[in-house]
Amino acid sequence: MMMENILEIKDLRIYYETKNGEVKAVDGVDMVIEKGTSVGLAGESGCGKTTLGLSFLKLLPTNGKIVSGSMIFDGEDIYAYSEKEFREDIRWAEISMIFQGAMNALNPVFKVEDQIAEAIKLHDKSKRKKERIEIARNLLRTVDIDPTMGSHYPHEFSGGMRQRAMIAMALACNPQLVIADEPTTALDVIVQKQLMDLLRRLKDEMDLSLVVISHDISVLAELCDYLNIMYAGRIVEWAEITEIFSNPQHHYTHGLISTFPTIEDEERLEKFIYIEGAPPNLLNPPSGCRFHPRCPAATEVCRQDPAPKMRLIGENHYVACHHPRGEE
Amino acid sequence: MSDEAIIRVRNLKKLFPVRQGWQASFMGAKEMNLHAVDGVTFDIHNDQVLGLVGESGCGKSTLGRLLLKLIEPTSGEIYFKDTDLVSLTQEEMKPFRSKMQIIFQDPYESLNPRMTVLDLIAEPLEVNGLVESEEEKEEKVSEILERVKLSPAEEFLYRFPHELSGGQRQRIAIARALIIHPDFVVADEPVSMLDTSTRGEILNLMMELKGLTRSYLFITHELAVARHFCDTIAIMYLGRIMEMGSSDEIVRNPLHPYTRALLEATPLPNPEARKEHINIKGEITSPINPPNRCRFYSRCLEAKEICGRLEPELVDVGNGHFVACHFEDLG
Repeated sequence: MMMENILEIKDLRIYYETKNGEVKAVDGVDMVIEKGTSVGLAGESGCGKTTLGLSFLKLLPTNGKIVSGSMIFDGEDIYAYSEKEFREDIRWAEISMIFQGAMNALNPVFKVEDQIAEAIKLHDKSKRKKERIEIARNLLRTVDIDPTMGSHYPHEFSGGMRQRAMIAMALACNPQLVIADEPTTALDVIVQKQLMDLLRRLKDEMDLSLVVISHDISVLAELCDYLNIMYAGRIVEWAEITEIFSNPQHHYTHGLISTFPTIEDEERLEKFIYIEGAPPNLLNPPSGCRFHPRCPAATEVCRQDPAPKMRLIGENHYVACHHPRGEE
Repeated sequence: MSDEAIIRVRNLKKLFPVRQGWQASFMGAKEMNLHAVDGVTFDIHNDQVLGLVGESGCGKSTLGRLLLKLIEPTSGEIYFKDTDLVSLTQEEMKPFRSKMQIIFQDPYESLNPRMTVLDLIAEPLEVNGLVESEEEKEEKVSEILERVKLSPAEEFLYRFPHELSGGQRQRIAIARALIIHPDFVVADEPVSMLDTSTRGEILNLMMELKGLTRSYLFITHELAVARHFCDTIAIMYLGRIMEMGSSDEIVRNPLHPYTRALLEATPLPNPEARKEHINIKGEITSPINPPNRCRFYSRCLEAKEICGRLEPELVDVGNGHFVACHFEDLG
């Protein structure tokens, strides 16, 4: 069955101007998101995943420039929109975001329901205040918060409740696509589990498409249908979730998955597995495949430009590697 | 495992008073205390790694700091070998300080940015008067740098923390704790600030360096890390130890409903093992003046009448396995 794509990114490049030079945070990314699926984006800190996440809403810091690329949403290139059109028709109305760190993302001096209602006001001026608050309370109920808590302030909420309130806010204008940037980081495992269950339920009930950004691949394994692995500004592997975990082709993906200690193991590990070295500085990334200095299978061709392109290696499975693990 | 206990803790408590307005105190309001650590008993043996696992706010970091007397306990006993540390003054503590060290969570904040690697690592030597000359100091620091795999050592001696990556900084913190060969080290979430791809390297290093210390208290919120790194795991909840046993026992045969919920909630890097529900309700309750009942009462799906009126004690169920639950035999 051919699925409809809600969003397609083509050859996206985002560079930051800094006093030390240009930081290529996102450097030639292609991505597709099918309608009604959840897509994971995994990578280490500093690989550009948050920048990519912000680019969906064109919320980049002022020194960040979209150098090239297009973003096709529902058949239209939304990067061709003016800022006014983008703000009115896309941001929050169609694509919204759950930000990292719910502790700081809510305004401490406004009641939670007023903050949710504000998002509705900006996009639908026809509704009166009473209606907006009513919608906000219903949203709180949807995310399992007692609606009467809406008239309280963020400091009266626990960490898990604040994150739920952030989710309610993201849903305020009935968006089609929600970007969740590290939605569970800094939360305890039990609260994290409850939130993942909630996100999964909302996705099904409201027919949402989700992009989940995380450094924690076990969270993505629980939440996503597809997984993109990002390394140093580029996507290096993309596949359906069970496929990528059972049959990782890029050496980086394999490394990421096997470094993860699990409680499932029968015996205690003698040694922990890790990836040698550290991710590169994006001011001056390595030539060729950016993973080559850390890669156990690197050869001469990996050091040379151009970098390997994403290629089809199995059903719905793409990898950017000269020597994928299956071809050794 | 040798039976000699390095650390013995008996009924240790730390209550932090909660400040109330002058009006409240004037009106004779009841004194309020936050029970961070509330009656904890355990031993750490020679050659043992004890993992202290719990959610944020359960008192695990407070407990770590209490053991080193970085904060004073409210009541209870802490024995280092045969000495009761609680009764010692800060002055009398000094000879013991060189035998106990701590590795902090955040290597970006725990190292003084104005000090070189040499000075940072040599500080514990100097404070404890263990070096005579500059040459000896440099030699000792170089030696430990090689052991924490920052080699060649000369390249690192005169660098500053900002020139190092997170993993390298954490290795400095480890070198600093181990250079005086302490008997006991508290490691407070030593890898939680690091990327998963580099964590393994630090954990392996801590294992390899066990020759330089005799025991660790490893504080973490990640059961999966504790399961592999620690010999024994203690599960902490709202200031109390709920369950304690060998890491194999805790993972394979969890008896406390809270431990089981933690295990169920821990995500697996395996999309085929997704779990739909977990057997727990609500969120962590307040640690301020907790009533006399099981701390887990309001969240436990198996709670009975007795759980609501009596706090269960930590009891030995055999096999070195301890649990604080009225219905431990139902597990």
